Amino acid sequence: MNSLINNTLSILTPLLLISTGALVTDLAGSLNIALEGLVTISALFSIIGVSITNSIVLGTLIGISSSMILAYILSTITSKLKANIFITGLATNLLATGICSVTTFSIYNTRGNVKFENLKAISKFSIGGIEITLFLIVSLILLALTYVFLNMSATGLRIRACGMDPHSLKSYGISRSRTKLIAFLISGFFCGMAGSYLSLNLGSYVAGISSGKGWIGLVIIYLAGSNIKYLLPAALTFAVAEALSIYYQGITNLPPDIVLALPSVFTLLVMVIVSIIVYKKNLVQR
Amino acid sequence: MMKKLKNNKTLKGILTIISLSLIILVVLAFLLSDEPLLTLNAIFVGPLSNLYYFGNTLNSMIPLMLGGLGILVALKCGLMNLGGEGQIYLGALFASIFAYKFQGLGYISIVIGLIAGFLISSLIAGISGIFKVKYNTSEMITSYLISVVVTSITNYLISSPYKDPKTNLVATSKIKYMLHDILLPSQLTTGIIYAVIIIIVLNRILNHTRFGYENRMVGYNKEFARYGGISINKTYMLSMLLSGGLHGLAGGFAIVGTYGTAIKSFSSGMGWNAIAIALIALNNPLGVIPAAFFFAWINQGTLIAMQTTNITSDIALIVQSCILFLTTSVVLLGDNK
Amino acid sequence: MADTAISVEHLSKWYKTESIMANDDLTLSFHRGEITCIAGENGAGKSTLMKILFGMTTPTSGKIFVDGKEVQIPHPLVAQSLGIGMVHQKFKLFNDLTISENVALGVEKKKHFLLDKKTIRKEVQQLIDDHSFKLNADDKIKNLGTGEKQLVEILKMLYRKAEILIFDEPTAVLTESETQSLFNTVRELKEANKCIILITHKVEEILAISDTISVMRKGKLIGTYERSHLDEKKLSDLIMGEHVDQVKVHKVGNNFSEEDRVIKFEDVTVYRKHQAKPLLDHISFNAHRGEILGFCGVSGNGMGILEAILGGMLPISSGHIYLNNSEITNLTSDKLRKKGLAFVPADRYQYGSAADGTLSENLIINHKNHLKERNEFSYPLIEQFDIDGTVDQKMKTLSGGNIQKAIVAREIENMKSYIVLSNPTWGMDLAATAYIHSQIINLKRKGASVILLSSNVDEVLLLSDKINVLNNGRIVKSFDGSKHLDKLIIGEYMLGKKV
Repeated sequence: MNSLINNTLSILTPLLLISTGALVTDLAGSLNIALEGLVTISALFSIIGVSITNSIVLGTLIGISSSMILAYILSTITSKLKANIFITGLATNLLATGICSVTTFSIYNTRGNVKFENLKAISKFSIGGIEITLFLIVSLILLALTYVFLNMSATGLRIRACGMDPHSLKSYGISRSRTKLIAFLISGFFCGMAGSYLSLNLGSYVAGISSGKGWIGLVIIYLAGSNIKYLLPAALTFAVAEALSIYYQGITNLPPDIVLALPSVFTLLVMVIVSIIVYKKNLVQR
Repeated sequence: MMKKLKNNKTLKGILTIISLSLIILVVLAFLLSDEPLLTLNAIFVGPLSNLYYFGNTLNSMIPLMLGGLGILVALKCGLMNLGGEGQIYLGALFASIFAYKFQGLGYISIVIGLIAGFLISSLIAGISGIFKVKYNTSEMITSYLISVVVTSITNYLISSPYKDPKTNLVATSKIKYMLHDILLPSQLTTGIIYAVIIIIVLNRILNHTRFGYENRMVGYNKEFARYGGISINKTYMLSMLLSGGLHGLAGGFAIVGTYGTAIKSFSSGMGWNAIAIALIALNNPLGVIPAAFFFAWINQGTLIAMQTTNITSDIALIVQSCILFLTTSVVLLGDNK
Repeated sequence: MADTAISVEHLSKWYKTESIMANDDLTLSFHRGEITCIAGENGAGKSTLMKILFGMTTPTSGKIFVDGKEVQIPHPLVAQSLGIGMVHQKFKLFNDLTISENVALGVEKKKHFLLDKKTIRKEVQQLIDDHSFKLNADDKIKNLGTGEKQLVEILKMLYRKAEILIFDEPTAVLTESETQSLFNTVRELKEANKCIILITHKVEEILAISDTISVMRKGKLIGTYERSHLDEKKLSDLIMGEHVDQVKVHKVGNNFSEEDRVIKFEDVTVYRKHQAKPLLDHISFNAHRGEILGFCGVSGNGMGILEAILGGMLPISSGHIYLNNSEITNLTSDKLRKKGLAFVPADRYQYGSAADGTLSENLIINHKNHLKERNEFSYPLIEQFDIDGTVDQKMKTLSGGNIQKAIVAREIENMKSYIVLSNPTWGMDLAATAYIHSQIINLKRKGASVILLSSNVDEVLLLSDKINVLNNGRIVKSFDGSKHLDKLIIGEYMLGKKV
């Protein structure tokens, strides 16, 4: 039972971080497809950072910077060239994969997987057998701060306004591209944290380390109805589901390829069920 | 392609994109390679240096063109089929199974394999279509998630029930009848001719038939199409089915032309490349031909560079992402919807 | 003469991509304590001039002076800091935010890094009370009526301490009585010594409100006149450059029999889930051959819903609809089209056209089996309706008026027994309006059943044989169009002040 809870919390941490950041871009009116890439690049650079600086904090900061730079590139190219955010998001994912692969190849001469020996471990403490990491606490605090930021700050108000009607912003003298840039940088920050957690917790970097968590992040927002109040329960739903699938992987004879598909099947089901509910709710009564 | 380019701006934009991506390649080669000039030579000249490489370059265009076409069909009516990866892979598996099963029928088994690939992927894309039509579920996210699931299941099918026990490869049984080679020693087959015919036929369908018109109008303005008596649901379904089917054909041709057997993860990445190709084609079905050639060339070039010098072929990913970044630019290319 | 607040000298704006001289050597000045109207047809260049003054676009040449000092206005922020405010034709408000949030957006007061919501709310409510507007600073925009939203736009300008107030076609969306109350507010602002610039093409309103009138035509300034020197005929001739007669209508009134009936609505009701109040509440009416049946109502009172139902875009919750005695309840648009629906929607961009399609692709949509002959099909329509465009031109490069002409042309061509027109002349100039009106009368003469929905009471009054007024989803009153009717009384029914 404890291992189930530990697994759930360990899966929840990155999902919560990713979806909090993605919610800010969502409220600013952009679907952030690049979450996968932002997570991946930070996962690699923070673990390299930790191995070089021998400090979890510095390494994490390096990772976060890398994904914020990538988010900056994405947002700037999109607004300056008036490109389609969806396609540039895909491009960002591809770019992140390329950069990571080329970097590991030129430093460690492998395409992807790098294992770090004697790496500093992230600090955790245990309450009644349940492991709590600093990352989990920080991500919960950040969730609360994001709530305050969105609802009580001027920038938060502008971000929400931007998502409601970007074309009206100009007449208020507010720059749409700047507002979106801020949202993307925030998203980059959160994905950066998530990426750091993934690789530091694992003690190594593997290709495809985000394993679809960026997409799940989008579905979490969808499930939460883009409302930050429902973000934690929505993220928890996915974390529990994935933890359960890991649990059953240990006790059934299902082939590993099929078990790997289970989280996606679950995400898909939730996505479809929520959209059916939303559809029925908006339907004109017969 | 050229006559459809709206104006000089579009042409200039394409040239800018191509030259920018080539510059990035050069920079990467100098940054990462010990022998940058050798690397660059391999990338740029390699694919054209002999018939073997040139034929392989053309051959790798086939699934890219068909997949790109699949993306383009859906894109024209405003749908994004993100499930190309899984659709190509599963299409390939079905093509190999059916062509193997019916090899008693001789060369007809090739056709049966291709039809099987077309139908199964069509069906898979159709699931996203149904949810889009019935409940307005984002086809983009469902098609991607279904693709992840389909890829896992296909992996399982190839490595367990359909694995050929006679080989060490994780692959299905090798089919007996395949398309004819046309540029030996390269892998190029008559598949390229069929692919080009399919492109021409589809170009005709999209530009000159009622389905093409309705598909286009739905993409331009869904509400206008509905107001004008076009059934959006029917158009979405047909478009998704055709999109999936073309991806299935992409996988199918890879089997009956190049590989003869579905090898585990052999098509990984093709679906994403197909999206980039559809975008570079600027919404023009004929445009997938040069777009696929450009991609195939860079892919083949970096592969050759990896064999001859100390560089990873993954730099192709960086170049491709840069192309993708630039291709939807309204500033560079004008409004190409 | 009062003191000059803002003036322009030799101002020109050249749109390169469209090769249009939108403003051609304008020299004009606007004064404090005065209401100046910029009068002109669509495309006369009024909006371009206002965009330049508000920093939304920059002039190609010429100078702008504010309080006698030459200024550059590259951005709306600069305009705001110079004391220039603007109410756009399409409101720039955020529906899910409150009045005070909308008013403060962009100039937010802060305390400890966070919004000082308390102070903002107090200041905005103070401003509301100062001008005796009946608003609550905490209300969300989506709960406001059109007239109230416009007050919020005015609040936005006042909160930013604007001295020069620009109104772009402010009455286009208002009813008669809302217009009157807006004009009262504007007059009060004038008394407070503000400089007021009003753009409109409605002659009657110009004469009612302005002190000074500047007339523009095709980018040029025709002249600036004192109100007292103009009358209705003189002003409309100046605006048009020629004289346009309003169409003559022969009204038939309510004399129709059962056999003439084409469309029948029987207790049609539409509910949205979780809402107790129906969007349409037991609507019943008949439309007949040779009749123009008019509907008018304020937006949000069921006009849009009725339009959507007639066009097959929205299913109904209960009731029945018949076409020539066969039931057509809840048929979707593709099936209705096959039964002969012709339909000009209110929103020419969202429903009426595909911006990225060519003109001929847009015109052929009712004849999808004859795609190959689309050009041959289009030429006569383009000529007959005087559409300024070519068959291969993308729809989005046409002007709004020409897009509307194309839509009307397409639907009239496809008409079989009845036609639904919703705001068919919205935002069009007098000449084009008169032409479309004459076409509608022609249809009636040929025995068609015309259902006309319009937020423009004048239009409904001019054309209809019978007028139904919608309020709160119900037909609250029917008038015989052949009798003399008072616009103000109809307006009161529209607003629900009379039942």
